[in-house]
Amino acid sequence: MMFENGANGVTGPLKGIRVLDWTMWQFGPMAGAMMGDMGADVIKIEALDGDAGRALSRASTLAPTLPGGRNAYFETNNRNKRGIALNLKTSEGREIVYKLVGTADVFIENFRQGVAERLRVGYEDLREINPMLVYGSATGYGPNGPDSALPSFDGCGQARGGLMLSATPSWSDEPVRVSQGVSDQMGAIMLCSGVLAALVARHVQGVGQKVDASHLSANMWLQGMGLSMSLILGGSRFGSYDRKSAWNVLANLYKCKDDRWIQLMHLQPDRYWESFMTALGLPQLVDDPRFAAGPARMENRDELVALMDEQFMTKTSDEWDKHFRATGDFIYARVQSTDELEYDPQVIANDYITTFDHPAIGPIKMCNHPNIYSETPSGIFKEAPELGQHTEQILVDELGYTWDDITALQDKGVIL
Amino acid sequence: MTMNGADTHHPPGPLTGIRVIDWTMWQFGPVSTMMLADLGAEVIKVESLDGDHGRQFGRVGGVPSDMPEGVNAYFEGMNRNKYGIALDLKNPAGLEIMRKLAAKSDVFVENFRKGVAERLGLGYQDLRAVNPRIVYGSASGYGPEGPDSAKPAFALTGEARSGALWWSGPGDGSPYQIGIADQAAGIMLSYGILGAIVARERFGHGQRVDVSHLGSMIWTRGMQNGISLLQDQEFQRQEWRQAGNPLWNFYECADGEWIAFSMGQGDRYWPAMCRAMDRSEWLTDERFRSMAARYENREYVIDSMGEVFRTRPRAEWERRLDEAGDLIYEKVQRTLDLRKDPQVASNGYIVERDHPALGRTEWLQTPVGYSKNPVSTRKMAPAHGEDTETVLIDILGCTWDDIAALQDEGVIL
Repeated sequence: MMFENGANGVTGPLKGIRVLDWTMWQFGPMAGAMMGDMGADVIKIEALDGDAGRALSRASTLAPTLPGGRNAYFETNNRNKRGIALNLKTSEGREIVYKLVGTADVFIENFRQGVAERLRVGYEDLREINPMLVYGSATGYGPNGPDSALPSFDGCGQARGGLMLSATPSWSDEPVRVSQGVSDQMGAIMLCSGVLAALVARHVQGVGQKVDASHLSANMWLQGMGLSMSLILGGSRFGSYDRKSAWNVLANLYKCKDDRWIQLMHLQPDRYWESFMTALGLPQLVDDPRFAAGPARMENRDELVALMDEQFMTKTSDEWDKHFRATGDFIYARVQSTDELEYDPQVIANDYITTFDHPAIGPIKMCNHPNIYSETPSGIFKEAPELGQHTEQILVDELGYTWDDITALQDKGVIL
Repeated sequence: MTMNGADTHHPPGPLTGIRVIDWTMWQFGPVSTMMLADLGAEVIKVESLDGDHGRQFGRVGGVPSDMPEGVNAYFEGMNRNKYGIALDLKNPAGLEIMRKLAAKSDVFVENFRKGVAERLGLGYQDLRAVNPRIVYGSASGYGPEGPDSAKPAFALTGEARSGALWWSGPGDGSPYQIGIADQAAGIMLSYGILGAIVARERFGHGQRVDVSHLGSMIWTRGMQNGISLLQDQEFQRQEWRQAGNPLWNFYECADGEWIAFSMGQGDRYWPAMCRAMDRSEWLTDERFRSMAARYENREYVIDSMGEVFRTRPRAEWERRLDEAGDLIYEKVQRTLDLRKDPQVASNGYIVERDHPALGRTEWLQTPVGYSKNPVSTRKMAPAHGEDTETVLIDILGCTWDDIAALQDEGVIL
């Protein structure tokens, strides 16, 4: 029944779960894609003019348009789904959704508060049809409070959730945007995780329910450690990071001779002090009274960072990498750019980036689902659907409509 | 079981009835299990006799984390809602207790370096032998396979390796840390475990779930990485004045506060923006009038808009923007502004709780609202070994004589 269009061999922990994905842009669609990665049968429901993400013309510095009218933004957010296009403003269109809800386990939506209710596909409407339904709802600012109906896109969550300013260096007089789409992506991860827990509750406790996730909360949660510490400490604000004055010089960034950077990450500096400084070729500093003990080292940290900077510049990052591997058990990584990821042997070995044979554009690389399941592997089984690609298949094969019904629905403008 | 009555006042969470053995330390593992605990799972944190090293973490990003009565803010923030036991796992009697607990649990989570669990007889193959339905969550820096799978890792190694240090930062092009790898990976691990519990409820089998810093950080930036891979082009770090769409950018107001706009459909919102900015001439000006033109002339457009926004304080802009139409904007807040944000309080993203040692304190709560099974913050982080006796007696049926003997042997505290 699932993926009759030829995407066979679907596996994953959600195999057999049906998800109705009435979402657009990124927050909702990515949550649906993640469920699809885990093997769920995800049916994307679009309006007759389609998810606006199909037409996104620019994402930051890149134009996401692909050959054949495809769009990289849409493809990446909508793989592993079937697609149907419906006019939800007609009673016939709504009736199709209701019938699908009767066959589904999960319904997700990311419209502004009130839109689903107005179209009569709110939680209260759908639970009447299917009391065991898990209804996932994505909003900018949460279902309660004065701003619950405000519109929100990615940057709003980063701005309001504190992420921009916590990523802003102390010397910068402008906020920093942390990677495009990170707020949407985190929202999607939290929504999907929320739906999973609700599925557990449904199996264990026999209840369906509504699950709410928001940009605001996902961005707060992403800074959970720092924010919790600040709250617990009653308001101490984290100083923003300054490499040249790092509190722990063994957990800091250093530039090498080839202009590449190495990130050290020894959170127990005393444990590594002697062995690391020796490996670095600065054994004379091990017992230097300015640096030998923790408090003195913090006191004189600027001086020490400068000495280490100088020393790091004597070898290339490759040479340091080989040297550190040979001389001890150190915790560090070379700083990579994202275009190196697809060639990183770790990325390849764990299939974090995978190749998928797209029927329209040929073999493409995509970010794979990042979790590895030993028994029910997730994967990329299918490309993003074209607008309304599976409308007829689903209506005829799964809801029992006849071809005459299809023609009538097309005539009335309910489907494409 | 309510081992100390801590959760009697809370309705069941979605994971109520699920027992988790949390053999983790620092942040990645502890965050993942705390999220399961927030969802109602009974999480038993197993520590060595010298404790999770996170209890001693002295300073995080320059902020000292020591608090009164030996409490540590770093540790507290990611171990609430858990029970704590302390065991000597190098003693066969300690290992025996661990294996018995695993046999009576649904989930086991570890974040030690590859090989450590296996060496102690606590690897997935060992535990599935005593409990075939167990979900075994494993956290690593670089994933279970590949040349660096046994390399040690802390958060920033994941940010470095995954490309994240290039995501943002100042214009001089040097790498800049945002400090989210442990949290992002912890979120993915709890998520992975949830997927496996769903599979177990439906298919009947347990399994191993692997999550890494590297994979999680690639995923956190999934949209950009996905597009880069499809387009075979790197995203450039974006300077404020170079934003491709000036309506997807931020501007400084007269009072030094910033306001962010997030309108991907630039043309749809441009007329209302011009109204709010009182610049009707920009509707027809060739440099401004379309998204393509604004991209072409972006520096000029952004500088011009920057000048306009510097003329009024933020509160006044918010009022003008609301009046002009349904514009998508937001104030750029600082972390601690969140405490007084009414949205945050209304949705329970931050809650106040009484801490036994610290008194009234504020806590982040797992940010997902469930209509039937709400998340809860019901217990503060355990003192080292706080619940050892309760767990051994209630779950494993030990007697007080057994407890005394184990203490004498140095297996427990």
